[in-house]
Parts: sequence; C-alpha cells; structure tokens
Amino acid sequence: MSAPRKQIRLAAHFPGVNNTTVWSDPAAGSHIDFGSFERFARTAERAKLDFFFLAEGLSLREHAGHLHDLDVVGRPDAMTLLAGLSAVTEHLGLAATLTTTYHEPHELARQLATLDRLSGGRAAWNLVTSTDAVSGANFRRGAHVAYDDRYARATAALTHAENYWREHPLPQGRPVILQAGDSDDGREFAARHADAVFTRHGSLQEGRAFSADLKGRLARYGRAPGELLILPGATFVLGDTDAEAHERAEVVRRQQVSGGTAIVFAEQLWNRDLSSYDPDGPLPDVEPVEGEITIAPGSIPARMFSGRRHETVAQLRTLAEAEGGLSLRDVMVRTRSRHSFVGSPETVAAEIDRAVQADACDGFILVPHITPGGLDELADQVIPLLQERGSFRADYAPGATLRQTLGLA
Amino acid sequence: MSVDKLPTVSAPPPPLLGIATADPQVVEAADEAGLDLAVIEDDGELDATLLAARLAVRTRRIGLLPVASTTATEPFLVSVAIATLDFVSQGRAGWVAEVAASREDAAAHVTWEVPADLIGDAREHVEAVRRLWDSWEDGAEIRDAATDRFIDRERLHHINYAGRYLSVRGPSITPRPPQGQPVVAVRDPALGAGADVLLTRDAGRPAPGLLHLVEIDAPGDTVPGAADGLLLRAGDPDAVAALAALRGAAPPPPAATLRERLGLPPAVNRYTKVPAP
Repeated sequence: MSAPRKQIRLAAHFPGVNNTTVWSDPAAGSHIDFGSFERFARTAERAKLDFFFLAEGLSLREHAGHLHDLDVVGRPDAMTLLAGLSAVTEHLGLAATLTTTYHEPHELARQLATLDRLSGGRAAWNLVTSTDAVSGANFRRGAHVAYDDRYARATAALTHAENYWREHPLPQGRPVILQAGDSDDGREFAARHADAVFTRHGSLQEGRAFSADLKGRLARYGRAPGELLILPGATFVLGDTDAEAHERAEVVRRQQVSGGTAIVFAEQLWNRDLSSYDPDGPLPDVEPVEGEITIAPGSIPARMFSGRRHETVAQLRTLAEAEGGLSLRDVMVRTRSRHSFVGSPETVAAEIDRAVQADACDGFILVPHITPGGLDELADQVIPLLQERGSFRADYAPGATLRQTLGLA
Repeated sequence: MSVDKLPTVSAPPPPLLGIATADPQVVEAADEAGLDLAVIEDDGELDATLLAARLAVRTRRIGLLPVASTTATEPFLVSVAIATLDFVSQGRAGWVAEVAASREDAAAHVTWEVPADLIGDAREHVEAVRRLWDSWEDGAEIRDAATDRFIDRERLHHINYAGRYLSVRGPSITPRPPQGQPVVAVRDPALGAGADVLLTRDAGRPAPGLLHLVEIDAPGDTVPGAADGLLLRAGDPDAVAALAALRGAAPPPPAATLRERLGLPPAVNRYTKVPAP
C-alpha cells in the first residue's frame, strides 16, 4: 500500500490594499461592508479551506507626499471583523495580522484569547513587526521602535501572550502563530516560535530552498519538520482552457497596472517625480536618482531597487526596444505583475499539488484579485480536483480546532 | 390662536430601556424583547468590543455599546474597532469610554507612561477617536476609473490632533462608519462634554445636553422622572422580560441606527466643507 499523500493546506487572503486587488472590474464589490467579508468567508468554508486571512496596515499608504489614491484604500479592524465572522462560520480558521510594534502585548494576548473563545478554537495570529514611521504618528509612543529592537519586542509580546494563555486556558491552548518576516532574524523567530510561515517564495526552486533553510533551523529548538508549515502567498487566474486562462491573465495584469499605477511604479524605481510623463508613451528619458528615497519613503519596492537603479532602468530600456518599442505601462505590466497560477482548473490543481508533494511548501495562502467573489471559481473548479487527487480534505473533522485542522495538534 | 386651542401635549415617549451585562445570552434576549441598547461590560476575561461584534451578527435591532478603557488603549485602535463594529452591526454601535480605576491598574498593562491626570487623558482620547471617525468624509471612495483613482484624497483628512497627553496624525484606516459618529457613553460626568449619553446610578444628577440613563439593579426599581431611560444591570433573561414589560404593549419603533433610536441628530462631519451658497 502506498503512503498517504501529503495533505495540502490552503488559506484565503481577503483582497488587500495594493494593486493586486482590481477595484475597477464590474464584479468588484465593497471592501468594507460586512457582507463582503461574510460572503468571502462562507465561500472559503464551503471550499473546506484551512483559514481566512486578513493583512494589516495602521496608516494609509503615502506616495510623493500625498495619500496614495490609486489602489483600494480603507479596511476594518481585523480582530473586530473576525469576531463578527465567528458567528457566520463554524470550521474556518480566523487569522489576523497584528504588529507587535504598535499593539500592546496585554491587549494582544487578551483579544486573541477572546477570539479563540468566541470561535471555539479557530484563532490565528500572523505576528509581524513594523518598520514604517508613518504609522508611529498614530500612536501614543510616537516614532516606531528601533529596527534592531523589533524582534526583541516581538519576543516579549509573544512571551507575555503565552503566559496569559496559560493562566486563561484557551480552546486551542495557543492560537496558531504565523510569521511573515524574511530576514535572518525573522526566519530564526519563525523556526523557534511559529506554526506556519507566510512567504513570498512561491516558485518550485525558490520554495524548496526556502523550505529547506527554514526546516533546517527547527532541530536546534527541538522541533520536527512537520511542526512548521510553509505557506507561500499565491495569486491565480483560471480559464476553461490554459489558453483562455492566459488571455484572462493578460487582461487582469492590465487592470492591476493602470496608467497611474505604472507611473507610481516608475517613480519607485527612478526615485524622482515622473508625473509629467505619459504612461502610454516611451520610458522616461531621464536617469534615476540613487541615494535617499524621496518620492516614496516607506515603500518596500522603492527600497528594493536601491543601489541598482541605473542597472534596472537600463534593462527595462533594452526590453522596451527589443519588443518593438513598449510603452512605460507595457513595461510595468510585463515586469511588475505576475500570477502564481494561470491555467485550466486541471492545470492549476496539478501545479498546486506538485509544489506540495515536491516539498517546495505545505500549501498556499491564496490571494484572489476580486472582492468578494474572487474565490468562487477556485472553490467550485479547483478544490474538487484536489479532493479527487486525495491531496485535500473532503470535509472538516467535526469540532476540530484550527490547530487540529492544520495537522499541528 | 388662543392658548386653549393648542393641541394637547402628547404623553412623553416611553423611556429608553437598556441592559448592562457581559452575558451574550442576556443580550440576545434583550434584542428579542425589543430593548433599545446593551452595554457590553468588561468582565475581565473577554474583550467587550469583540464580544459585541459577534453579538452584532446574532442580533437585529439592539444598540451595542462595549466598554473599553481610555486609559489603557490607543485612541487609534479604539476608533477603528468601534467603526468596524458600526459596519458589522449596520449602524448600531456605541462605546462606553471608561477611565481606569487607578493609574497603577492601567500602567500594569501598557508600555507607555500613563499620565496622572486620567480624566484629562480620557478627554483627549475621546476627542481623538471622534476626529478619526470624521477623518474620511462620506463619499470619499469614488472609484473613478477615468482617472484611476479609488479615493478622492481631498476628502480624507490628517486630524493632526496634538493634546497634552497624546497625539494622533490620522487619517483613520477605516472609512467613516455608517452612523458617522457612533454613540459615546460615559459613566463619569467629568467626561460629559465629549459624550452623547451619561450612565449614572444617581437619578438626580443633571446632565445638560446629554441623554441620561439611570442604572438600576432590578426592573422594579423606582423610575426617576427626570431621566431619559433606565439601564438594568441584568442578571438573566427573566429580568430582561420584566424590564421590557415597562414599555407596555407598544412595540419599539423600527429604527435604522442607534443614533436614530436614541433620538440623536444626524452626525455632522467637522471636516466637510460647506459648499458656498
């Protein structure tokens, strides 16, 4: 008898406040009404997914000295929203991203304990640290804590919470802890404390290297490889055939990179004001500016280009020319927008399963691009194929906590 | 028109009826019984705002006012939590802004320096929360595909609140809630200026400009004539039924929001520019 197949873990990320989420599509609904969240969570539960996931941002994004107005703006308080969802779901895990930089340790511990009680053991905490000073201005202590101290504060907050949870026993004992930091400190923190890691390393090759690195760190904390789940974020576009899916993906990519967004992407790279350029015209004919980030402080993409702005711009110019004179927007669509899975339901199911069976990861946190219906096709068309393969649960175990659903207990 | 032709003044409307409890079953019973509001008490275990959010989904009409400390919380986080409760309950949210019993109690639970002036800190906290609720104008979300813009950023505002004890830049991360301003209740008359509702055990205390609910321990306790309503510290669903009976046979009026149910005027946004005449 062959060994049972490795079981895929799947979560659903409610569409967030970056350009991945397409608000201009006629199917796009509210990002704030409870009905949108309820519909999305009910679909996730119908698909037997492991958990529902909410990101966090404690200030509105800014660009070029103004509030960024091109992407979805505004979101509810995650814990309050999840407490509401606990009343309309029965099995689905409820995960909130909460930064230890601005939330107080005691309130974090108590709110997570409350959510675990209200949901019968379905609470999860994506524990993150913050580096942006903009959010600090919304809080009593003002400027954010020093970058180097952020994991010390995270560890203190988690220790406080674990003590609190021991004194006030929870249905799960300890809510499921997710972690998303990719620095060496972040990986070490995950190896020591986390139940799951939310990572951007989604390709087969990158994923296997990341997974091997992280799982290799577990032994020194007396943990087995199965005690830490690796869950890359993954976008997807489906079609009846692979060809149709690729056509749809091309449309979605252009929706995700509007003319205005293309200019913002270029400004992050060039590190200068390019607002006078036409996104449908050629790439800007000026040189990028190295040094202090002026136009998009706090932007992660702006920081990632540091030190290689000239080289990157030169590559884009070569690409534009080689393809017969691509516009600025065309270039940004090609280079700044990609989808993890594009294909027919059969193709996407096979790729998801292959990544998990090849130990590139333990599953995915799925990120649809439409609110709230972006999960529907996947639930109806891909999940049944994964179930047929024997790689994904046909139903939840009755009364299971999230920790049990994820195979961690 | 002579004085004796004036229409008869109709009987005063039945007083507002509410309960104060941490028991979810009592809140659900109170909703069934048609009571106006429920103060969700902090019982030391569950976070009252999260409990209120779950109850918002499980109830239909009752106003929900969780107790949350001013001393031991961030105004930014209270503001988005109560705004979210207002979205989840479709306009039935309020907040009982409670000052810690002592500086030491609060200081044990937070990492910032708690000021000695707890009332001053609370006044600033409530003011910052209210400004954050106004920091998005209604209609700020425009979804204008022609200009690629999701919001009109001219209709979002940095509140730039700088008090003696705390400062908050804003804007909120959460759009303006359905009621504009969820209902703010306080138990300390010193905070009355920033509140809509005063809850006290003292029937005689005047509360100019505020709705005044008197807290009672049993449905049969004397109804003070001057108060706008009663808040029963309810132990069980039977007590809820007895309180609801005070209203007689009249069903509660159907009201869309808690503000409307309490007779409060629509909230005006302090940041909305009045168009030139």
